[in-house]
Amino acid sequence: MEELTRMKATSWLAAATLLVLASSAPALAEDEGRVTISIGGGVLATSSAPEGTFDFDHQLFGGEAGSFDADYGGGEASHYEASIAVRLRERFGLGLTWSTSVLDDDADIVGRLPHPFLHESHRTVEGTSGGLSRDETAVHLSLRWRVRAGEKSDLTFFGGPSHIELEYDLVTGVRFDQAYPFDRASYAGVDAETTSGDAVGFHIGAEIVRWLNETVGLGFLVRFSEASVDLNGPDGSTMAVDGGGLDAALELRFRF
Amino acid sequence: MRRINIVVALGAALAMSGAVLSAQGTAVPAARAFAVTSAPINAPDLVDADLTIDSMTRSGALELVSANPDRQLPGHRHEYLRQVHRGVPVHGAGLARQRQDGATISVFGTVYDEIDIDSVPTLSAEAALDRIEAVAGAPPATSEAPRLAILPTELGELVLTWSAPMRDFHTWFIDAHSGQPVKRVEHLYTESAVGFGRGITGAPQKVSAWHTGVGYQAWDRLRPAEIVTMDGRGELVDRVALFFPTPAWLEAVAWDDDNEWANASITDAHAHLGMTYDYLAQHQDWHGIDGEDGRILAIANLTGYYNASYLRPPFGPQGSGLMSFGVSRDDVPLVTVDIVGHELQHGVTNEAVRARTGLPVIGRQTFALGPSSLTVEGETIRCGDYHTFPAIPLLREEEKYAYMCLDEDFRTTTSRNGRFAMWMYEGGALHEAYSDIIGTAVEFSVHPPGEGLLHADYRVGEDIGRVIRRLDAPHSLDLGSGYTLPDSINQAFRFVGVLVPIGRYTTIRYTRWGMRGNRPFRLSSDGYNGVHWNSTILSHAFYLAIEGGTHSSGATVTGVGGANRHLVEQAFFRGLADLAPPSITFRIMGSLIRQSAIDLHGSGSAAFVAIHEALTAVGL
Repeated sequence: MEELTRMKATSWLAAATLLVLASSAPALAEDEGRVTISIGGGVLATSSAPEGTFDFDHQLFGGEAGSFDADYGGGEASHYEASIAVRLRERFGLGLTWSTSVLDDDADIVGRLPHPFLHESHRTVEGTSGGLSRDETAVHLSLRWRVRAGEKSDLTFFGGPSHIELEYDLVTGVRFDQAYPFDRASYAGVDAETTSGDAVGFHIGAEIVRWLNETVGLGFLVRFSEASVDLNGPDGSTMAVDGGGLDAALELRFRF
Repeated sequence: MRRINIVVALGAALAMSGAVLSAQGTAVPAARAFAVTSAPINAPDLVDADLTIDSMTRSGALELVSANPDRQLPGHRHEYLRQVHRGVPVHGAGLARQRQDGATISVFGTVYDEIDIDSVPTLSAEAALDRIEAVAGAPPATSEAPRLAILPTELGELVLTWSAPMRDFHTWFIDAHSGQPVKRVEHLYTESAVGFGRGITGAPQKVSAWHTGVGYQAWDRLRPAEIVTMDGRGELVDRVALFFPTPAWLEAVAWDDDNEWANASITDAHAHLGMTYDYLAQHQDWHGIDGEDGRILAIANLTGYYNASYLRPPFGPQGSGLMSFGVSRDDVPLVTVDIVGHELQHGVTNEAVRARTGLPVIGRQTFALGPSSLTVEGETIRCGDYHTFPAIPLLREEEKYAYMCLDEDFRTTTSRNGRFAMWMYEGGALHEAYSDIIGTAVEFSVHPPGEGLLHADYRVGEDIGRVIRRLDAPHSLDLGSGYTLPDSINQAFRFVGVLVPIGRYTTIRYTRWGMRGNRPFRLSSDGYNGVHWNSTILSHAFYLAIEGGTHSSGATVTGVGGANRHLVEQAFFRGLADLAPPSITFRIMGSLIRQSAIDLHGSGSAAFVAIHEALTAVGL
């Protein structure tokens, strides 16, 4: 909760800064507009998926710890974003982008289950768990450099700091079916808990906009962002997960 | 399938019991022992056995008790037929027949010919129970009516009796006419009381517990048979009530608040009961004590009880028996895996036979002729002498009886020329042998072979600091004065007995005198029957069949090897659980185990050869 509050404060501060800069910027060509607002959506190819080995407990393990390997799939998340950009000079400007992406992740699980009667006699179960939600919310503060400008299109590179918050359903334990004599067990799913964390990283990207008229344009952007987020692991450990990734989005852009 | 004939004893009397005369000189019927297997060359013997069964069944002298498919072998079926005389069962007499695809392939058991006894009791059942209560000095253990049966005594007499289990932990048999006591059978099987020097291993154990909401009970509900371990919490005397059916046992179940069990006795007993269950279920296809996954009850942490024991039904808090695990004289809990397995197997031995035949293993006693005198350390006893049982304050006056000697015609005599009847409690020794065998097998199923703590070997009690029996080398265990455990039937401990009259009848009481093989001995007190010592005769054969080696007689045995121990274990277990009649001797047991090995592994198998050689080496 504390991270979320900090993130929102950061976002509002950045937006306020951008408005102040917009209002105080020197006069520019009126036909190109000073402020652009865009909304769009696309996909985010997550930059990394967590994996690791974790301990877990069960009432039938008789004091021995079970463990499991979890190898999350990661992949392409649905991505939505909204942004505002202010042109400060002919080619330079500032931008602020809020984005969110949602991934229905899965994880390959290999569990090692202590025998209920025997010491050091583990059973191995394997399976894949789906439905693990990975939600990512990011705020990107960008320095923008417009390298090509024309009546119909713009090409802009941008980069800057990013604040990324991850909310991840992490596997905390392995469910299993077993029957006497318990020499074998079968995979029956996982227990998962939602954990979250945030971190500041960076982003770089480029966008191209094709203006349909004086005010409205269509844009396409590609952005790479990354921030190493520490999540609370299922056994109390800390697990570093790279938030962000490579996203591509189509935008509807307005300029004023 | 080719089968070989193992023992053909059709028509032969076992242990001379059929030739003995009663104390009153009345001729007794001849016992016919069957130990017959099928073989083309010996088919007539089997045909005779079948004809006997058919004839006796038609005349009503044999009555079917059970008929079940084999637990392991398709096409095999087992029947047990008990002998009845005018509708009254003859205690322990009957035949166990194995058939394969409808053809008889083995017959084991004992029946009596020409029974001539009145089968109508003079005493009513109610009057008999009153009388039993008077002679036992204890009330009945159950609400069941007493049973009417014709009881063969140790001397071969047949007596119409009423019997009932009483709360003194004995089943009493009384004459159904006169009400005079004839016999009593103890329900308690105990491990030897021993003193030891080292504590238990301290190895971690898992305790399969039941979470009650406020704590955890030593109540295993994970296994198909519930295993419940109760907490003695002190002196045995405080827990005697649990030896009888009582709902109070629920309050005695061992309990721990956080499932981290601190009491080593409870922990080991509970864990090892589970391991024994697992061995029987997974290696022998036998489920629990009763074979039907009935609840298993035990009590541990009995700090004042210097023994471990199995109390068979109808005793125990649910009437289904009870194992008790006490401590050594050094307060080391008697809960190592071999001891726990030993006690649980006592229950299996009883129930496996009872389930098929209606009776548990009967403690059959046999005798052999000894010399006319015995001398130990300058003291001599002779036929014609009297043995004095010293007085026990408040319990017994001094008693004096003549040593039991026989003349050339096997009549009892007090003549100096008579020869001692040297008694051996074979049924009890076989009980103990099987408990050691299965206890050892369980140990090998949970520990790697080797010496030292938490390793499997053929020693009993090693993990509590004192070896009390060695299956691998019985001769190496000195019982004192150079006497060692026997490794063959010829070296068995046999005891000089006295005939103690009980009303019109007589029973045998063991004295301290006896012979181990040809060497006389004298114990410090009377009454021990040597069942634990003589158990190594069979258990050593078990060892030889697995590991091989040279017997002390010089006979060599090619064992199946440790990797194939299960072949021998299965043959031994099947011989008892699936084939044995209630009345067994060492020699019958040898035949049963051979037949079992043939059934399971074939007569040409290495396992059968190993078992055959091992049994032959020990004289069976």
